[in-house]
Amino acid sequence: MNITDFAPWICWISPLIGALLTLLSRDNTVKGVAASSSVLVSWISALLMVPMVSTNQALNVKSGWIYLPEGEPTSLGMLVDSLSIIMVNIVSFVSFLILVYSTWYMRREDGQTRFWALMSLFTSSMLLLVLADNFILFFIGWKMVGLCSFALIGHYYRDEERYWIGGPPPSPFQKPSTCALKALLVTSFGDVAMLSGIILIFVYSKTFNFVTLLNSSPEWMLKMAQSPGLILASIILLLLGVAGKSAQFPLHIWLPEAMAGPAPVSALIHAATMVKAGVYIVARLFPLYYNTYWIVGIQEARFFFQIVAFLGVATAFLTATEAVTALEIKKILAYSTMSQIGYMMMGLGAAGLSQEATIAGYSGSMLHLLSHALFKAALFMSAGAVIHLTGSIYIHEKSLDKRRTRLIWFFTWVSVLSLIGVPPFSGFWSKDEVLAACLESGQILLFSLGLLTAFVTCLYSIRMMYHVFRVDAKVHDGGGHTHSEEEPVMVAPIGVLSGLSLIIGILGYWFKNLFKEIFHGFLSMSLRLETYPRGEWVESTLIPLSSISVIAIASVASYFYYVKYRADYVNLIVRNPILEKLHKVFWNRWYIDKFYESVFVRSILSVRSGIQGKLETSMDVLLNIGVPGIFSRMSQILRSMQTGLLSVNMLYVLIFLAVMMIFLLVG
Amino acid sequence: MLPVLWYITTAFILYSVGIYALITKRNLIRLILGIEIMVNGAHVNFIAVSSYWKGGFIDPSVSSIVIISIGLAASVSAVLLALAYQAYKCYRTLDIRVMRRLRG
Amino acid sequence: MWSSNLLLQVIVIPIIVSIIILLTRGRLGKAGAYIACASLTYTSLILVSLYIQLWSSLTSIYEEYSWSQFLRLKLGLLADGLSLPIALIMNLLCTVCAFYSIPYITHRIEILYGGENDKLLNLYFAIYLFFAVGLTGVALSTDLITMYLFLELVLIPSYFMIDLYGYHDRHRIAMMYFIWNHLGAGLFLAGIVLAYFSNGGSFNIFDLAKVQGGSAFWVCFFILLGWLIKMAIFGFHVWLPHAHGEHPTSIAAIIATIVGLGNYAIVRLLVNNMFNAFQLFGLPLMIWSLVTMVYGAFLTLAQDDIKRLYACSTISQNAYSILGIASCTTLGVVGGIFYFISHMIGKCILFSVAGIVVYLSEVRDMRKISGLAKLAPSTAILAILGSMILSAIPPLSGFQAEWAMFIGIFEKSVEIGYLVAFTGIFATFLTLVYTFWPIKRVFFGQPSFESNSVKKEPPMMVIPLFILSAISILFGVYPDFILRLLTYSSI
Repeated sequence: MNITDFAPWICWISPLIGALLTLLSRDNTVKGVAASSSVLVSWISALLMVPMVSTNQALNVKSGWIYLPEGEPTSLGMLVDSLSIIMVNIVSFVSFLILVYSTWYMRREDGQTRFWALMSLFTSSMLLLVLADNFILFFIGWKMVGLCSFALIGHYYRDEERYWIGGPPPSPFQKPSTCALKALLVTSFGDVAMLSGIILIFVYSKTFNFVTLLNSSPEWMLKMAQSPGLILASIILLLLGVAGKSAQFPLHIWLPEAMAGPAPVSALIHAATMVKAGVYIVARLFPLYYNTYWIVGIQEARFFFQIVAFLGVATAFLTATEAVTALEIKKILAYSTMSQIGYMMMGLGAAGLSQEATIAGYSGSMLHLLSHALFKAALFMSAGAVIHLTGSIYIHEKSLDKRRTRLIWFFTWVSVLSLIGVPPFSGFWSKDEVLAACLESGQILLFSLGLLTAFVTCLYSIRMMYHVFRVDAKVHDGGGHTHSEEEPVMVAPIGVLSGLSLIIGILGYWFKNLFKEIFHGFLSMSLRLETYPRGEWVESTLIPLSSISVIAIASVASYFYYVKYRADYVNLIVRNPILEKLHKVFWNRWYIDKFYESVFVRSILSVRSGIQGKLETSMDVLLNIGVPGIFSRMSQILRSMQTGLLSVNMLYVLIFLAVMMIFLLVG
Repeated sequence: MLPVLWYITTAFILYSVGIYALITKRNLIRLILGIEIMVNGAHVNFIAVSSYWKGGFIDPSVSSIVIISIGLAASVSAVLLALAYQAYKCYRTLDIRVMRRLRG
Repeated sequence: MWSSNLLLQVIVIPIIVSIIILLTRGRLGKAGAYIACASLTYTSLILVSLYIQLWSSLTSIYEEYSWSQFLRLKLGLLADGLSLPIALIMNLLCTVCAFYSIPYITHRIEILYGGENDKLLNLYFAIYLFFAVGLTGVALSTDLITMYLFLELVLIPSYFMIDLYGYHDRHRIAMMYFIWNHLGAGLFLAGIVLAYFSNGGSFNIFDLAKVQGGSAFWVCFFILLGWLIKMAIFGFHVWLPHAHGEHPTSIAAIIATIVGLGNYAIVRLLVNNMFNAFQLFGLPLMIWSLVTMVYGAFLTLAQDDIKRLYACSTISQNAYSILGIASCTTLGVVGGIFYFISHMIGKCILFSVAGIVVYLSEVRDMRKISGLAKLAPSTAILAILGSMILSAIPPLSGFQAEWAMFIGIFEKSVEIGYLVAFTGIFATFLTLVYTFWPIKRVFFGQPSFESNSVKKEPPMMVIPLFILSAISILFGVYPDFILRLLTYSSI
């Protein structure tokens, strides 16, 4: 009974206790401290689990929870292996820093109880999701993070005008409550699909437990393979859920609107943790489908990797282009998040498509997950500072004075360089690993689109930095602060994260190999594939050279364009009809959002009155007024037979007599 | 002896004449006369069937019932005529289709 | 002596209290209401203790009393794994709604009849107690005739409730509701009589298994049709939006429970005893309930009146349970009943929230209300909790019920194809849309009221609902509380 037996439980239950403490106390600072310290406890217990990474085992602590009439009882258990340990550390560490930052950001807002309780509840659910050892517990965490996300995006539920996002006019604005509802609905659609995929798998495998699923996969996968298309259906359903939660194409439309929430919410949920949940479950299910395809030999399982890679690359490219024209700082970062998660998916997909690329792709994705969490959380936090200090959500209206915000400027540049993938920052190593895996598995299309996306990434990042930290006349005057606006509580978390980006980058080569070793062990334990064929491209210098050259070209281009020509894009675009069309497509988010809105939202709104008015009312009138109407008509007819006139009654007697006569004579 | 069917036919003809009067006539006195004829038809039917029941044996109970019934018919028509007279005093006409005040 | 008659006490005590309240003709004043609530709390506590006893020992509790020596009629009350959870939940709902009614009905009487009227208040509670008796009786009875008797015992008071305390056009709607439900009960009675003649002259539920052959089909048909009409399946659903929209909201949960009671009846009568005949109805019933589900969801989306919205949603939610039960698999049936229990709790919370909104603001049209969350925060939280129960979001009970039920439905799909199952599970997405969208409309956004023109939420309306959500969380976190009992008693 050592501490590592309790560590997973402490990890996810501690923020739950923090949420309860938040509800009980009255003072705002106490609430903030309670929430942050509970997450700190989580992080410490996550650190305690780190030594287990080297043992390459999966520890599954179970206890009976739900007993179904058939199949294995679903247990309340934790699965502790390299994947979950690394994720738990990332999640708790970044959450802790963001909560510290929130004590500065939210200090004058109301609704703090809601905020702190929900942030703690969110962290708890995310940790539960990562540590769960069976699909049901995982899905509980999954849905709860969706619920907390809904509640936190709609934090400013009173829809005051200053919290509206969208615009600038003539583009429409969106209110926070609408954005929250949209996020909930889109992610829940994915969730419903995922639940049906999970249930479908249970019907064949009779278990929810990840370890048992993997170990018994040859039997139940073969059973499933007997109905053609069933494995493909389950893959598509599960991946729809992943697409919904991780904001990948085709369910990526909710993330830009989710920026209606306060900046810490965007940092925690929509950059560092919740959207990574999809990547986590793909990584968790990776050995299962890898086993099925490469070792058992069922062809349908290959679709898993193909669809994942396709989702990844499509999202990466589409959303990067959308970021080039966006005008709100948080929306640029949201598009960037979706794009980078696309990279992670690409890596995982490519890892499964060829045996040489497996380790590189898998560890590259995970490394990119780590570096993305670091630099994106830092970027969102500084975006929050920018919005707070300038009072505007747009990048083109106001900008920060570099002289007064030196530290923010420096840290933001570190994170942006990591995002672009400039050596020696951590983003460079992870992005290159992913690209190497793509090339290794022979997917030239993935590789080239990945490079193209890197180009576009550089463009929009430099554009954003230029606008935010412009030195010319539009110096901000937001709030009338004249002293240095940086407070330690705000800057320290950003600094820590950017510093880590830098440190991991400098140690990049060794860190990358460390990750490779960890995941080599992890995959060999779960896949039982001892030796992997060596890849030729993985170690070569082609990849770093190509990515650096792409970045160099892009940065030169954007420097000339944005800095020299002061981004006078209006003139440039008006003169060139092709660029104008491109701008329109990118500004309208490739019309995907509009498509969904017209097909689903507008159609239901227009059909509504028809259903109630015509369909239901007609059935209602038919049965509630029509049927009694028939009866009253019949009773009126019968009533008219009773005239009360003697002659008529006598006539009835005569008729009766005649009928009886006929019966008697005939019968 | 004449076959019993002839007597029953006679009774039936009397009955139908009475019914016809009740169906088609509007005058109250005619309706009363129709009732009388109908009742007489029933009497004839009774006597005819009883005398042919046990060939030659006349049942005294049937005859006594019929005699009582004749007396009843007479008293009924007496009451009816009195009612008709009062109705005439009230309505000034003997047309039953006019007398509808009791109809609900 | 007291402990051996517990089930009888549950049935009889509310009747005695009701008669006492009626006999005192309003002289008790407000105390009459509290006496009624106290008696219901007592019966709920009895049922809770029986539940704990049953859960730990897993032996059913059966009490039998002879009603009439001459006619050889017996009153049998059976509390086993299937009936006790349902009886307990129904009694709890009645208790919660009794507390909820006290402010609500006082307010309603003021509006309808002008001024405080203690006699009408006491009359309400006297009628109300019959609901508890009837619902618990239906769940606990072992005899078809007593089941029918208790069913009518629920129907007749509800007619009076709607007629006396309902909203606009209440006389006509009360009559319509009564006729529709009576028609369903009449068909049920036809099935009972047919069963009596087919199985050799016994009304006992467990003797239904002796009905053979062709008459089994007809018995099944009549019982099923009778209960389906009461459950407002598509085609026979037209009475529900009116009746559930215009009744006093405090009995909303009760009436919604009557609608769902069919699930229990179908499982108890048909699935447990006449399984072979019922399987013939399996696939058509699944498709019919699917149509109901989808149509009900779209109808709910089309509503603008906050009470009719939750009324129409009952049509759709009930169809989930029917879908589960009609799949004729163990998990489908167990999940169906669990979902029904969970839905009852959620619907009680949601209807009561609608009642609170109407009580606070006197407005029913959702286009005219917005931004209530600032003025009525507990109501907003309750609305979200209730919607979570209906939309199957953990950690509330709806989630556990839904996945268990759908496992059963998917298992059946192996024979009949996956279209039904997929349509069913994607229809659950519509539930989320129609529960959370009204929350956004009513509670979020800029307030359309001045903060002093809206009353304060009375704690007696809100606290019982929080207790109900706590129960739902309990079932959601540890579903074995119910699942163990249901699986032990099912086929």
